[in-house]
Amino acid sequence: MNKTILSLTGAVLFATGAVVAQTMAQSTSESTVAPQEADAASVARGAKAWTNHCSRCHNLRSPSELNAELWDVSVQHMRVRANLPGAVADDIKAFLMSSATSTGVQYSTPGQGGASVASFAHLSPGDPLHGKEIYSQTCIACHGADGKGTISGVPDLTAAKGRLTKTDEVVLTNIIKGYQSEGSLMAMPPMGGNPDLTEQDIADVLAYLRKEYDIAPGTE
Amino acid sequence: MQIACHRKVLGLPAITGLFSYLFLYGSAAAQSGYICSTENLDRSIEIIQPDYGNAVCKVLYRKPDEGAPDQFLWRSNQSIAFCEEKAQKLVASLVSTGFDCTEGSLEPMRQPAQPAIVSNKTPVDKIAQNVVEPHVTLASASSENTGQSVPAGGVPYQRVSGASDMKWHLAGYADATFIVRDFDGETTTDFSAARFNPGFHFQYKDLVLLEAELEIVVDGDGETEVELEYAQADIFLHDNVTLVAGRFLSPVGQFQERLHPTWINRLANPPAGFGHDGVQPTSELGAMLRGGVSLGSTIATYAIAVGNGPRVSHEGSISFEAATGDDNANKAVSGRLGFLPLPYLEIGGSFLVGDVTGVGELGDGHGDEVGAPEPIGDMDGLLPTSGNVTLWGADAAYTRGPWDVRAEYLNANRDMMATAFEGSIGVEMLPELELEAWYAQIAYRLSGITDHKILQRFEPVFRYGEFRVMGLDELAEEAAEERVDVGLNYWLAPSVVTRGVLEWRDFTAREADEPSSETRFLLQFAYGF
Repeated sequence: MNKTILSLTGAVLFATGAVVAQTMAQSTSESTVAPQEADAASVARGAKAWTNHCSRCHNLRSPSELNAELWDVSVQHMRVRANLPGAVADDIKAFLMSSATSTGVQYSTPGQGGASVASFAHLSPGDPLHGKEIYSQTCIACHGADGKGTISGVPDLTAAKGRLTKTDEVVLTNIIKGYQSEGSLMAMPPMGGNPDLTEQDIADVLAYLRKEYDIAPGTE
Repeated sequence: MQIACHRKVLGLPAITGLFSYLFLYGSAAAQSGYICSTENLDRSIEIIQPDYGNAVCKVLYRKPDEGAPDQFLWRSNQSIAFCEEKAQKLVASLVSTGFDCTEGSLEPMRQPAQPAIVSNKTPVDKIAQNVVEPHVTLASASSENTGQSVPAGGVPYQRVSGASDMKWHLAGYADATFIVRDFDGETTTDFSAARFNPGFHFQYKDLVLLEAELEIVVDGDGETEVELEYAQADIFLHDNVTLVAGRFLSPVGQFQERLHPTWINRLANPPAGFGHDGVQPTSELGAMLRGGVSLGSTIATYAIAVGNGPRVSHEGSISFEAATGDDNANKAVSGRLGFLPLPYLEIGGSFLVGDVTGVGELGDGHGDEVGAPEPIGDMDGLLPTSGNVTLWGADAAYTRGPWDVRAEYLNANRDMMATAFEGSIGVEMLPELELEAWYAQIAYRLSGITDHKILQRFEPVFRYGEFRVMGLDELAEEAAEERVDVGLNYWLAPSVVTRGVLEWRDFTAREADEPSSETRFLLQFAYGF
């Protein structure tokens, strides 16, 4: 009886999969003809999903480790291994592929003989309210609701001698162009990995952080 | 959302509008564009190349005379030609509705009075108002404004592989280990292992992923061994269902399938009972359905497999490694259900049911013993019989910030059965066998307490585990143990690590006069790529 049940279960499982595969292959194929869509919301969701799911097993690899095409295949592999729903995997792809650009990532400290610090005189004064919304959509994935970081290697933004004690120009340059501090395993992707954000959005986020954690900009 | 109201550009004169225009469109220059006009309206379609972000071009659609929001209708990460094609199709669409289009672009001064209002919206705003940029929005917006159907298919980030249906990725890991061993009063030192595990991923559209991994190792005699870890086809049936066929890593438990690569494993070797010849199934040959389901901010996962299942090992135990050919007509069914009540907390339960069939004589250890056993029997005329195998397990993982805490338990039982095995005289009866293994492990990255460029890369690790064997004395003497590991990882990169591990092993089933404890120090370099 037991043998019969096992054999039957196996046969039914395999047959079900085969039938479903056959019947869905056409629709799946058709749906993949259209390019995948990855809008700003997908990028934001992907940042959160990346930190939530990928760190379940291993260190988060910097988005700059692979180019966009390699991330596309790599995440597809991880969709299977980690049992990710397809939509979640697509969001992670959107984030990693949009963050994968290697241009602009600074490996030295702006303003200290390293990369040049950009001028942001053209920006309006930051709007903390708007900045909070941006932060809660994108930045929160890695930096956390409390600013202390959700993954290893992400700096504590609330620290008294932390990143926010640098000048506005340095912090904005780091966020907009991307940044990796010496010794850190993680790189901050340009625009937080969300290229839909504007420089003004980033200025608003910085205004929010300074207000939230009561940290004034440094002088140099 | 009233974000726009916070903008300081509200109500400012035209020079502010000009300034805002230059800023808002990412310091990008319009490379080309079209002005489409009717008697009362001007619209523009501009191709912009942003200075940052992945997009190489965007198509900006502006309708300043109508007070409508500016929209980036398409963008491409690959080719400006994509944007040009889309822009030209839109131009054609407008021409067909009575617009007269010429090359050029509207002056920034022709922006609405407050250009920042319409185009400085954040993704939050866009999402809330359903005016985010993808083509689904385009269709509705265009139909409202032009009455024409605008070609769909534009995407914010065009799929990089859009130019080809087939793409591939080489991944894998490699490691080298040096061991100092102190056992029975003798100390030995060995460069014990050099391993290279390349993994190949070939993807055809979003329909199929073919993946395979080889394990290439140098054995004790200096010979190179090559084994196939897995070779499987993943067919994506649905967002929540993937059909896997071939030889695949067993979905039972979490260590073997997800943690065993040395750049992922926090220590230099598997926990006791979780490697080869342990209680955790390593691989299966068959078919599997697996996937995940989103439950709000978290997910539930499943995997259920049917395959050839376990066999009788040389020692008379259970071999959970996949083999071509089944030793009986009954397929094994195994699987795991996982649930994440919190994004950083995962709990899972696993099972396996199947049969193993005894053999009449031992093969050479390469699968010859698999298949219908020769009914030679021993002098008592005992014939090989089958035994039912049941396995269950539970696992949990807490991975939040610098913490990585895991625990896993597996228990396997095999019925009494008759078989030949190493050391037997012909076919003998084996009593019921129980294998049990568990471990608990905790790791903490010092980046949680320091920003020091050196210290933050260290990660101390502690693990305790046990492997018990009941019903097979020879195997128990050899393998049953309690193991304590204390390690220190130094992460050179997220997937490159150097580690030192001090390990104490106590073999719990050995005779009193036999050495039963071993101390080892393992130095390992591991690289995941």
